[in-house]
Amino acid sequence: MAYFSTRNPNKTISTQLVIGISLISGVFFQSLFNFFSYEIDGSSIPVTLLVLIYWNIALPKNIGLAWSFISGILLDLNLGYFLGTHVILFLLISYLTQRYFHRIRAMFQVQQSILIASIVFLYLQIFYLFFQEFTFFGFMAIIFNSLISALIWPILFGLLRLIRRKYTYA
Amino acid sequence: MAKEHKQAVIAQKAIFTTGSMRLSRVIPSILFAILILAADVSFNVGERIKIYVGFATEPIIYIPQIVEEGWISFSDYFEDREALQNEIDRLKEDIDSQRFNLINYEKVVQENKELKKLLGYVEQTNKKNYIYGEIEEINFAPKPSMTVGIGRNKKPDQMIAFNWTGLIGSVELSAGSKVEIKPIFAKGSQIPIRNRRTNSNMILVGTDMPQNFVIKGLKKNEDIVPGDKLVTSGLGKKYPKGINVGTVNKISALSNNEFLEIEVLGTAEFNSGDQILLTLP
Repeated sequence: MAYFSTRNPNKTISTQLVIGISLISGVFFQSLFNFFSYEIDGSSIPVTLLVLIYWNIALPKNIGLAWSFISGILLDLNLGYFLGTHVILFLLISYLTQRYFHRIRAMFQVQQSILIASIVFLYLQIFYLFFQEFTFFGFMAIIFNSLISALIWPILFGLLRLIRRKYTYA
Repeated sequence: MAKEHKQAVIAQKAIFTTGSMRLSRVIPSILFAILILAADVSFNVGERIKIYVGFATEPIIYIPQIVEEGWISFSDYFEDREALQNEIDRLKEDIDSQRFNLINYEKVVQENKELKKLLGYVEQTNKKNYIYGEIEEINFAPKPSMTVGIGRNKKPDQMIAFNWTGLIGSVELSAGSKVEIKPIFAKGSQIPIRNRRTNSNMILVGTDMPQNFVIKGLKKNEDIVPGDKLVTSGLGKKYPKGINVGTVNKISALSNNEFLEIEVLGTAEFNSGDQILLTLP
């Protein structure tokens, strides 16, 4: 816990800025992927969720719950869901990842990827069950997107870690 | 191995460790989110915001279109390039084959030339071998001559002259755009001719008198009568063959001479008209 006490106020601002920019970028890309995946019922890779999980694991004290709320609202507005839908899910996932970030950090990459695939699967499944009619093709799309998310997780993890080391105090 | 061992130790310790996040901190946020959700579902409060956000984020939906159009332009560019490259390659092959044909053609032409040379065939040239001129001056003394004006850069050497009445002479001198014509009736001029009736060859000799000629060297037993048409025979290649030059006018046979004296009336009038055609024989 030593690094929490050595926080530099200037670095704290840059940290929040980096988190904010990365999450907004995630929202942008997710909206874009969602538009591309129109033919598979809008089931796409949840980039915002992956970014949020990373920051929850990496800097749980900095991200708090505010960014989960903001990014959730932005996604709801962008994707046209009822306001609060993504917020609730992001808050729950943020809670779980911030609660158990020690354990997730200690996992191997493969284990982390499996965990990410599970979270993504549940996340997409909830949206699918509540907002769309069940089809086999849609279900397969969810599984496919979960696997893709698991595969891109190490890349996203490395990229965000690079950004974190360069632009934040941690 | 050491890294994995260290990570395993950390994992063993971490499995019993939890973060500082508590459920009590999340529940108010979740309740607030549920409240917003309920308000949106019941009263559609987010509709106006969604419309504005939709307007604001509208350019996002054009990104795939822009990307697709860009990709089409990109691929079209390379497809066009490829098509052009194929066309260039095809044309190059065509050029190569044409070069091959050209080489063969040149070879055939060379062979033909050699063959012509062997057979003694004289190739006809199609160069322009006639000149129009205008009569500028006609002299009868001290010797008959005619000066004709022609264009510059013409080569009238060794040409013969016609006017509208017929063959009148040959080019004697040429300088610049002037040509001096020596008439066929000039004294000393000799024209190889042929009797059209008998096909016998003879020489027509000028007398310096217009349209007056004589034939010398014909023996008394020669078959020639007044009225016989005389044409050029083409021998000596000074005059072309078959041009009407005159008619036998008078034949006299002197007793002390074994040759006939034949007077010929020329066909062409030397000083008639004002235009002259010069041509190669």
